[in-house]
Amino acid sequence: MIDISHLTFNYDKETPTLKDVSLSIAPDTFTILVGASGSGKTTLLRLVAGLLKTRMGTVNVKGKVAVVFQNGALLPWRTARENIALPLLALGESALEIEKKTRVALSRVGLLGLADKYPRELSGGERQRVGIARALAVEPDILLLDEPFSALDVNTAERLRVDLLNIWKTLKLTVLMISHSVEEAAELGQIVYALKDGKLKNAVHVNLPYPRDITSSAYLDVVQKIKASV
Amino acid sequence: MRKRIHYRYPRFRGALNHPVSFLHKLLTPILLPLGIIALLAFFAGIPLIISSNVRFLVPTVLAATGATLLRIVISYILSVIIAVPLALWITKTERGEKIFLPVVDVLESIPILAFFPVIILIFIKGNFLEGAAIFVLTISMLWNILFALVGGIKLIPETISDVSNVFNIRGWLKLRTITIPAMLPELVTGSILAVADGWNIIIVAEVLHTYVSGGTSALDLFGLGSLMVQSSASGNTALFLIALVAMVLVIAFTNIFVWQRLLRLSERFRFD
Repeated sequence: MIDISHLTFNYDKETPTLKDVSLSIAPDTFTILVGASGSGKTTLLRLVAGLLKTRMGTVNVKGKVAVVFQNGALLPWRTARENIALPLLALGESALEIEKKTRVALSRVGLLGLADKYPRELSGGERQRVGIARALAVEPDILLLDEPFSALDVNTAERLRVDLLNIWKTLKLTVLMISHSVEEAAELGQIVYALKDGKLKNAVHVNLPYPRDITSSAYLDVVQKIKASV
Repeated sequence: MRKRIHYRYPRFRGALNHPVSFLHKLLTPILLPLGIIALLAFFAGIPLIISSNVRFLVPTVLAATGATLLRIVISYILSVIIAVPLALWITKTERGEKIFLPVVDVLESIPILAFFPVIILIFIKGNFLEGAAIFVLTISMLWNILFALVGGIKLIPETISDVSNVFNIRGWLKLRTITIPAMLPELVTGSILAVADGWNIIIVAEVLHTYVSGGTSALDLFGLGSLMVQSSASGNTALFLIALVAMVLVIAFTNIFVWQRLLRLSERFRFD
């Protein structure tokens, strides 16, 4: 579904942000790219989303892509419903379809009751849910998430992680999420890639059942394995 | 990637630098004394006003206020109509910004009054004096609005641009749902400065005869600015005082009932 081959990318001529990155992401899998700030993970996600142009190497993406951004990236003058409807307007959908799809997306993230609230009237977690609903409204095959829980408190982030897993299972999406948290990667990902200084380290396959027990020794082993790569 | 912010872009960071606070700060030290001076002058001149023909003076000042206000409103609308597409065009590409922003900077620095005699001659030849005033007012208002709009566009967060790219929100849809709303707060603050510039230049824009050799007051445009100059020159203190108070009142009411309200309304279009 996503094939990246020998991808090298640099913003300036001196320091490459990504160095010869190759990876393949199968359909319906939950993949996480983990790395410290400046490791190149956001750049890689932007390349997959088509927000940056590749110069060396290739990025092949098969399927409709939607992105969930940090902090929701919502328009403050549009209600939750209107923010979610915007991509559908761009697709030229009818008013009836937009209304229907917006309602479905809102119900998936548990925000039907807050449809007419403006972003400033929503909590951080609710705003992020609107961001997820906006991405789901376009019925994507691939969902890219750019550190969606980084600005949230621990409890809100945990609830959203559970909801995201349910959405992924229900809709059979291919998910590529970036995170700086090794624990989060071990809790959510089936395959975890570590990026360090623009280089992709070996993949860690996490064969633990969901929901994962974060106190189990198997989980802690996975965390240690990922930490060794970061 | 960090966006380069042009030094002229209005940036209001923190409550103290916020336009509303800024206007409130201005209100006390500048507008209040101005109002007091105008009112004192008015009351001092009451005997003069009473002794003169008030029934004639007040309608004259009201008509002049209307004429001046109409001139300023037309010029303001024209400058917005010119500035919006120009700002969109300049910010469309990074190259456009690099080329055109310095050009606009230079153009703004050229005093429009230096060219005014030439402009007046052109409009006199076309027998359209009103055009000369509107032209000067429009040009003097344009720069504030243009820089404010460019600033507004540059303040759109990168993630919002990413949202529009990922979800293919382009063209008219992007303009009406993202770009124009995002420009509104800066448009309001730029408009306040622009209209203030318009009031600053109104006397020059209406008293046209001084720019033409052998020109008479027949070349002047009827309005508050020309009324104040003519009444002052002819020693008609009553008329001058009423015109002055009318001007102060129009500026104050515009500020309280138009700009302050628009500033509050535009807050909902500001990114966090």
